[in-house]
Amino acid sequence: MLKQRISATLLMGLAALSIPTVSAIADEVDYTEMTPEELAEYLIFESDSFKLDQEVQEGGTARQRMVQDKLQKTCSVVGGGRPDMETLLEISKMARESIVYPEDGIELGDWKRGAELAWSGYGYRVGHKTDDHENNEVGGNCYNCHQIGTDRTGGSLGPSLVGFGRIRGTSDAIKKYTYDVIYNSHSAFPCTNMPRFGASGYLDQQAIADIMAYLLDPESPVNQ
Amino acid sequence: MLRTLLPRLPQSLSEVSGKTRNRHQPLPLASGTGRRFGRSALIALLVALIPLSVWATTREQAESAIAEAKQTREEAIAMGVTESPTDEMIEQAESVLPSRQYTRALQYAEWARRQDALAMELIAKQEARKASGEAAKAAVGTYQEPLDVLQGLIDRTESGYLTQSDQNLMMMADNPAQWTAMDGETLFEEARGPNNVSLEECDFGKGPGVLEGAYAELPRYFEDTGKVMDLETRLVHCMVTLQGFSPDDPEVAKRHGNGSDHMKLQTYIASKSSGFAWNPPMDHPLEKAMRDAGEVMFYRRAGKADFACSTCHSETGKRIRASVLPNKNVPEEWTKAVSWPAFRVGHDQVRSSQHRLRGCYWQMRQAGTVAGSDGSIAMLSYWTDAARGQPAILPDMKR
Ligand code: HEC
Ligand code: HEC
Repeated sequence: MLKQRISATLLMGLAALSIPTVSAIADEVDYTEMTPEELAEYLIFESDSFKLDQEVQEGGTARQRMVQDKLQKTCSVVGGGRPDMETLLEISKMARESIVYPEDGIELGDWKRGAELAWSGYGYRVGHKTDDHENNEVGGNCYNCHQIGTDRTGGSLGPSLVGFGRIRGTSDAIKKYTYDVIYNSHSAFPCTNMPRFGASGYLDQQAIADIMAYLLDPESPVNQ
Repeated sequence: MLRTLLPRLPQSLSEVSGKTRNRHQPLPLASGTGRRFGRSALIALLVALIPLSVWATTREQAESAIAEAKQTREEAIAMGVTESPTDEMIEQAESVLPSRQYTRALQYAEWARRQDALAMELIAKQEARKASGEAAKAAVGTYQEPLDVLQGLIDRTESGYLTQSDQNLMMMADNPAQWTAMDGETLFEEARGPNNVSLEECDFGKGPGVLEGAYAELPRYFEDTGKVMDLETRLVHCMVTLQGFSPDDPEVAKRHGNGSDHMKLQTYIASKSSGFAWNPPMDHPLEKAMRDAGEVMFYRRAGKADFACSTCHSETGKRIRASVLPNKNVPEEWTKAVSWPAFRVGHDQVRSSQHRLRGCYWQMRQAGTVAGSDGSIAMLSYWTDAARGQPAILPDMKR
């Protein structure tokens, strides 16, 4: 469909110019006739620039990974920055509505497993090397962006979570807040850089419960 | 202007003495508005900080400290540090003498002296940086050794990214990628392929065989193909059209690893642009279109983890685990980020731009890139444009 529109634009462009600017034409489409957004979409989906047919772990192909959902699209601002306040509020509302809670309420799992999951960056990578979820559990990448325990070096894209449970406590409200942030961080921080671990199906309920235990359990080294 | 601004309030004694300042920590910037304290706030803070438990100070000690502070004050004024809270600190010191608070007097005087010393040090550093910046600017457009380019950038830019690996800095003079480049030179000049010709007739944008500074102006539009091409794609083009290789021959098809012809040739060609300022042309509409689409792609969030390149590369000093990330918005830092080929210590291999790009899309949990594709070249056009004007470090050495 996009292709058709492009060639139509191209024909119109050429007709208008009457002298074909041959040198400006790459293959059958004229990139210079497209807006940067149109060209980016064309390059991603129509130009064989990405291995879109590769199978991905969640089923289907890498093509669907490249298609933006509403939140991804809204939160992509060329040049940086964020959308306006109204849009942000809408994003956060949408995010809250996406959250599904465990049937038996939010419980803390096993902090020891949570510690490993928070550290691990394994999972969902495809391409020249593809992560095999049969061999290795999907990790949360939390340490990529957060300092959490003091025994390992964490990143600084997100705030430090050292002592998170000790400082915030383990009330139901805090458990819910933590669950919400992990499940869909945009509920609290619209257009944040933190991935939506629950809403995107990245982590399952057990993994979330275990990582929550790592953050909140008084026994966890995070809170020592 | 700079001289009238107040340096940042020192946060600790060791920082004031300047002895233990971590060189990765940003220097107090004259323009950092958030860091300018009002005089009274500063003095109130200092009063609160001074411990009262030291008793044994004598009047002589206090007086000589005050004299020293006054002396330093004069030196500082001579250097142009005019607006400063030190006068008031010295006054405070003198005013507590009659009540025999000699320790306090001594410490006020010490603070005043250090305050001025710090301000002078700051000015000296900024002047040195300006000078080396000018020198580096003058040198842009001529060859410079990669280590000298990097040192120049470090001297004029405070960047945790540029300085993150002392070890790499030390090893840079013996960068194994230099050997790869030398192998590449031999390959480049050798008559090869079914047509038995060398690559010396290959035009990388500045005329057949001209390599000096050519890579710093890629990707660019090539008349003969009607396409915007990056180094790797152009090299493939010449190997196929000039030398007669088939695209499936290992010489052309094998793109990665120290042993590949591609890495040898790319490293050699690129090394001829070391010290040249990145300057990809934007004269042809296609060059502009590709760069602009690359920009959209840079900020485009997608994939299993909602990442865009900008998630990790648009703030200064942020880290993924222990790795300091380069900020695309700081050209002095970004030039190192896009200086490929580079020897990646962690891989023990020389790597290309296309290899890095593939790695970043992989980390983002998005679809894999196809080397030489227009999508990949659009991204390289944008990332090179973001380093425009800064000298390339070629070959570089990375973590
Ligand atoms: C790509 C980086 C990134 C990753 C990966 C990431 N986070 Fe975050 N996280 C952030 C950022 C950024 C914030 C701050 C929100 C904001 O300002 O956008 C945050 C906020 C949080 C908060 C709220 C902190 C507070 O003070 O209330 C929690 C809890 C949290 N993250 C937990 C996690 C856990 C658990 C994981 C792993 C499953 C994780 N994060 C992975 C970037 C990340
Ligand atoms: C989740 C975070 C993340 C995202 C998203 C990301 N990168 Fe990176 N990028 C990194 C890390 C980590 C490094 C390695 C830095 C190091 O090891 O010091 C890196 C390195 C680089 C480098 C080379 C600098 C170096 O020192 O190795 C470039 C250039 C780069 N990325 C570009 C991109 C582009 C373009 C995109 C989008 C296609 C992107 N990155 C997306 C984390 C990211």
